[in-house]
Amino acid sequence: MKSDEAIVVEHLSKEFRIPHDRKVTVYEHIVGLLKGGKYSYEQFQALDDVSFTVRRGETFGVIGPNGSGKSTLLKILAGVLYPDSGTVRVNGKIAPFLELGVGFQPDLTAKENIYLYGSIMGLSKKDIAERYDAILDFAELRRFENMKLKNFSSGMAVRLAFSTAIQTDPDVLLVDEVLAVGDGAFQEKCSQKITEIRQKGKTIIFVSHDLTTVERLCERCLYIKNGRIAAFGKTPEVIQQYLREMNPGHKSDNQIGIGSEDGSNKVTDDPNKCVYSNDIVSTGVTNNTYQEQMPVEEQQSNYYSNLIASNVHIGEYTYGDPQIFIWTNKYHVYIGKFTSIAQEVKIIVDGNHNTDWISSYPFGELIPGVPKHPDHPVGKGDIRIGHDVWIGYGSIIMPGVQIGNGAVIGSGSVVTKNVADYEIVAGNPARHIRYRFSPEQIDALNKIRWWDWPKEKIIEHASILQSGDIDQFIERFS
Amino acid sequence: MWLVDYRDLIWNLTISDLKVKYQSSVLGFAWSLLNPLLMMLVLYFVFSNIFRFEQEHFALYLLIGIITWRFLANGTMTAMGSIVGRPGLVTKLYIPRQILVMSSVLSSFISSILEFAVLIPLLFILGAKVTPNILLFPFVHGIYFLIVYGASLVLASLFVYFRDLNQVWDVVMQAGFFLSPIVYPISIIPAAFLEYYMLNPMTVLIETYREFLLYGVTPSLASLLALLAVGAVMVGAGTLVFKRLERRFAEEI
Repeated sequence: MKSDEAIVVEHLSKEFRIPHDRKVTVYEHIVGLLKGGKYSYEQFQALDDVSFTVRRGETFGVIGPNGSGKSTLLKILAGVLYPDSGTVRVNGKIAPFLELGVGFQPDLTAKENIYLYGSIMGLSKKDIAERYDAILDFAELRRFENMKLKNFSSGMAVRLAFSTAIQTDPDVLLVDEVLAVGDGAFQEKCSQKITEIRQKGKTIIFVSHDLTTVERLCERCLYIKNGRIAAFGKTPEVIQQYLREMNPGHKSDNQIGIGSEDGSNKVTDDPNKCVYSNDIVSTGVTNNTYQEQMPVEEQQSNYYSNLIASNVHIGEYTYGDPQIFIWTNKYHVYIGKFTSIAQEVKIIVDGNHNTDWISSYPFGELIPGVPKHPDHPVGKGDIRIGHDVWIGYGSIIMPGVQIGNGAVIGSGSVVTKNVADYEIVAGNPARHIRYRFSPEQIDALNKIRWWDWPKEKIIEHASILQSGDIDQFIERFS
Repeated sequence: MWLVDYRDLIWNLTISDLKVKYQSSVLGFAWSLLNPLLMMLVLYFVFSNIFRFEQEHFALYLLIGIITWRFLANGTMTAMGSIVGRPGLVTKLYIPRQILVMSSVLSSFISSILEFAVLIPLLFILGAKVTPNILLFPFVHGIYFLIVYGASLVLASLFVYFRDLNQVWDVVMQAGFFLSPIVYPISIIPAAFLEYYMLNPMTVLIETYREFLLYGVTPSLASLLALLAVGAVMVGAGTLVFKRLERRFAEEI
């Protein structure tokens, strides 16, 4: 290995087995054997013969759509997953920042957690003792040194984690979109710290959906698609190819005015991308085509909070810009495919206030020093929104609500109760208006599930999907 | 060697484990001492009055059996969940995974040592024959640690793939409790079965503890070496199984 190489990856392949019938207990295995069943599974090639070299001291970007193998690659580099074949050689100490605060114990104090987390990140006791003050000062948590972590807000906990992790002084840093943590001011400190690390000549591998940041930080970039290297080289060229492939209809849409031929615009590259603003989340759920119809000024300059990003799951081709309110990470939001979300839509996951308390004010969230109460604010479970749903302008979706496939939510509705498949509701609170189709038709549509068709098939049958020939449609595809 | 390289981490995980365990209850550490003592009282009442076992120092006999057994039962039971219970430490960064098992067994080990520490004054109070043989304790307990650690490596790695193993193991432990000479004197075992009965390493171990703690007998070198061999084989086999199963931990958790 040459001395100017930080990471050499050669012919890396990784295959996952996805069992058809997942058995996780002794009992299930015995029952499976008695039935004479075989262990059938599907194979999924997450990485296929990937080779590349990262130079020492460079900031190296990895981009690609969801499920392309980015995370698998990062986990193999981190040593968490083992490759099926191929080799990875790393020159020096590697620090994975895949998630911050791994191993934190909520029942211990900030001080105890610094020692625990520091040693998890590979610092010796002596190292931590030396850097202890620096960690607390950087996190701006000196006052809370002896407070138990469970009383910290999620922002404070992430700050503590980042400040500790950054002290590890690694040669190679693996970063998976966790750079941006805490409030605006702390963000600024973080990016300064990252710049500092870069200037020290450390190697950084940066995996992100945020093409703007990748372009700003990375000299070279790797574009992975379906587990293979689709492009590799100078960042602007790789990003340009990525945008072109992700958005094949792009050229014909030029009349809309926001061309991205120079690869420098802010077009959201990924349908699943979520953009955050502190704890209140605004998602940039977009299919490019729709995004481009919006004036560029309207795009908010938001930032990521990875802790909660993982709780928002949005299907392909869904578009819109809803505000998603998440305060804790207890609950998830699932939004299906082909769902249309108009402007000013609010999805409240767990922002409810306790109305049976003396005060409904979230003291622990907003006033530093007041321990955070675990039951404030409250949610009622995950929000699930089906496929092919239309949510009208200004609607509000309340906690725990489930909305079926093909439902229509009239403008300005406040949805407090579950909405059935292909039901139309409107009003405050939202009431049943009618069903779009007969029960038999709805049944048939739910069996056809056209939203799960491959893209080619959808394109082929787009005309019938955009027609009222429901009986013909059902007859043809049932 | 991971044991040296990661000694600070192992220690920190062990200590935080103990802190969390004992901070969360009102009586804290007192519980882990009260528990075996209360159990001893119940069993003493049942077995000395109802079954009328004739055994010298039966109360202490019981207590040593219980405390010894507790390390195996608690140690393996908590260590079994040590991999599955810390998914972040398995899927988000790399540390040698046996550290999680090691620190879990270590924290049970420390609890066990404290339980034995309470036993010592009781030996004097209840008039047992205390001899310098009791200094063998660190050595024997060290061997015992190896046995529990070896078993835990196998259990913790299998538990990743078989999530009801804890139920199975619970039953095994209950059976083991009565198949080992904890609540009854070994003399009630019919001579014909004694040969097989002594194949249980826990029997040999519990008897060894009683010999040097309670009856002032020096254990035979042969039995100590046999125990050491069992410990070494357990750790060896455990490591082998663990290394094999470890490769897909991050995918299964």
